Amino acid sequence: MPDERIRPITMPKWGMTMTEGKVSGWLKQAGETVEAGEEFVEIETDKIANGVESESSGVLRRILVEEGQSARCGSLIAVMAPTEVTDSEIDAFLEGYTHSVDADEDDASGLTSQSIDGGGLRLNVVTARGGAGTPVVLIHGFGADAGSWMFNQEALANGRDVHAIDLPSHGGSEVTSDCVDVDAMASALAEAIAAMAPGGVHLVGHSLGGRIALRLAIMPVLDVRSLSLIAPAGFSDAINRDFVEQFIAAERRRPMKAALQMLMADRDAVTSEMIERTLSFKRIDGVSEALKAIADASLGVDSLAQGIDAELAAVSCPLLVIWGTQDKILPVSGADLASSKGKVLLIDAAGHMPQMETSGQINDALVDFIGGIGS
Amino acid sequence: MSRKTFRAALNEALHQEMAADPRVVVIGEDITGGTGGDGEQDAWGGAFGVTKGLLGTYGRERVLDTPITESAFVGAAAGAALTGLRPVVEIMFVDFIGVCLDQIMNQAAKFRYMFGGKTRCPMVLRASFGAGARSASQHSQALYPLFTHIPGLKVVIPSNPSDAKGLLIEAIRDDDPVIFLEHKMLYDEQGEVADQPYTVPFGEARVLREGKDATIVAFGRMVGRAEEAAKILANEGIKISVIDPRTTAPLDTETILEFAEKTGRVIVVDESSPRCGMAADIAALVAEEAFDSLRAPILKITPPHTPVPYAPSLEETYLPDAARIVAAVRRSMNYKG
Repeated sequence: MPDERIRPITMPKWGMTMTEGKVSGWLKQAGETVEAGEEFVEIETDKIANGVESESSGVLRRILVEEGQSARCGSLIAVMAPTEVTDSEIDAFLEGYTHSVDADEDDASGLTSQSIDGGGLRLNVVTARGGAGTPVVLIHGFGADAGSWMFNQEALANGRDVHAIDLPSHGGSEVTSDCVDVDAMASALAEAIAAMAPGGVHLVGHSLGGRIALRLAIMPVLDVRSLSLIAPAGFSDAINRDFVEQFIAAERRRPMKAALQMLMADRDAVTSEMIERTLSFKRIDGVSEALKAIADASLGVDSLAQGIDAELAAVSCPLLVIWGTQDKILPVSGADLASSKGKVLLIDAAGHMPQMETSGQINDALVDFIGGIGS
Repeated sequence: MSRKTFRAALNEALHQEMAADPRVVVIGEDITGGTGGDGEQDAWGGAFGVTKGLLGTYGRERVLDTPITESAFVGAAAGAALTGLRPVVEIMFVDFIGVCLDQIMNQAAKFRYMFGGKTRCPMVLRASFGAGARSASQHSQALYPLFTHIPGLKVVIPSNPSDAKGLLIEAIRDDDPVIFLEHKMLYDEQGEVADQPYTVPFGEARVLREGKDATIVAFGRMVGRAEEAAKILANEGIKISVIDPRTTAPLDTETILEFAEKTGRVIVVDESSPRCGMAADIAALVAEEAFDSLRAPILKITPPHTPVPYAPSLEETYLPDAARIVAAVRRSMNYKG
């Protein structure tokens, strides 16, 4: 049993991209008393610097990570204990603590990624662990990746695991010019999802990912418990070709910024980091060619809409459709198609990316909807 | 995507391009290391470990460890490039360039022009540069303005691991001679780097952050220091744009001018010597093209015009740091014309 008088102080984790932090300064030295709520150490990361407050009062007994040194999130950086605890008791605690960290490494909070085979392709899956409930699989849109769920994934991972899968030739998945139409991509994803979630799954799809999710929902190989579609492709009678063409043609910052701004209700929501990230993805060998092939095979209004009525009619699980009224890529009128079949939620402040622009509202809606299914 | 050091990102770029294109060869001093004895071959990849593992995979035909004769092996690489190979040459420290400058300045840089476009010289010359490693004045210079000055050369200065890999692959695929300069204090820096081969185009600045109050243009290792300064200023509510041009030739004048016009205040942070350096070059560009937008004089943050000192305290004082950048931004903000 660990000694409960001894309190381990670990490197905090601020945000999902933080993997390690640097101790920029100890505000208390070993042997000094720290009051509850008092800042005792300063931590900095690539992005932020902040002081850490003590949860309770105690004596800072041992500093394990010196100023200027870095440590992984969750690893031990110091130990607090009352003065009556002896040094040898602290040594014993440290020895035991090291072992328990090693054993629990897989349970560390945050996102992990892995490759899963689907349709003969390596598909990248980013997972937020949340529990044993029926898992959620998130499917992003054309030209995006699992990162488009950055504001949603961990919020949804409450009582269930949430997997964000990268489409073929997107994010960390294998680049190919062969798996480019909705049929082929749905088949590849079905295989991967069946392997990940054999006992049923809640699907959430955005844009082209929404079109694919609808197809997946009627495939017998999957046990789909609910279907949430955000601005799904195939529902509208138009698609913004300027966006598709400019996105594909953009090789530099300015044209990419102009293309990405079409996605948002608030043009200023496009950050330099988002532009850089999208350009970096497009500059991977083979990606431009694959995106062109996907656009040619999948992004025509007719090919997207093909079979949509029959597929919607065949959906047997609860359906939620979410759409931003300021969507400049797929007109919000597409939501009408779903109104007789499922729940429709229109968001006024959002364009084509409500899950980013109005993430809080979307997270609440998804948690309510999926949570209300019962498993 | 995984976390890699600047060194590992460069090594991966070399590995991937050598695997993809048999014309790519690497040449340089000690790049395989331990050439004298069998047991030690490939024990270390050059003075900074960047070429480690290449010999074992590609053999002595494509990984050429040379004697200490820059003039000979740089000239050989320029000639090899003319015949269709794509050599990547390593100069251990850019300071050694003096002994082979003719091969670069008069030969490699001029072939395409002198032969009327009938030939190309797809050669990359990698070299470490920069102060901070206690390497004294003959091993610490930031000589990129020297190459930027010479027509016919492209000049690349990566500031982070991801750019290092993409820019090196772009350099190897480019048909002209490219001078690729690696700050020796960045080799251990870590960052997210895509595992697949990818390129970063020349002549496109990276915008690290956008803020309305002032623009900092910085090169190489100074980009990190500019970011540090921008964070300090952000805590005070001062919003800074930070621009990393990535390449000095070609130079993304468009982005620099766009942000000069947006913010009206420009501070250039340059590790090269102040006379005829990149700071002076950018300042002249902004003064000529964006004068009407300026709200304050353009400021240059550079080392003094002296050799790089050896004494640690002096070397740190010599280099621009976040405090100097913050002070310059404040001076610019407080300027009343």
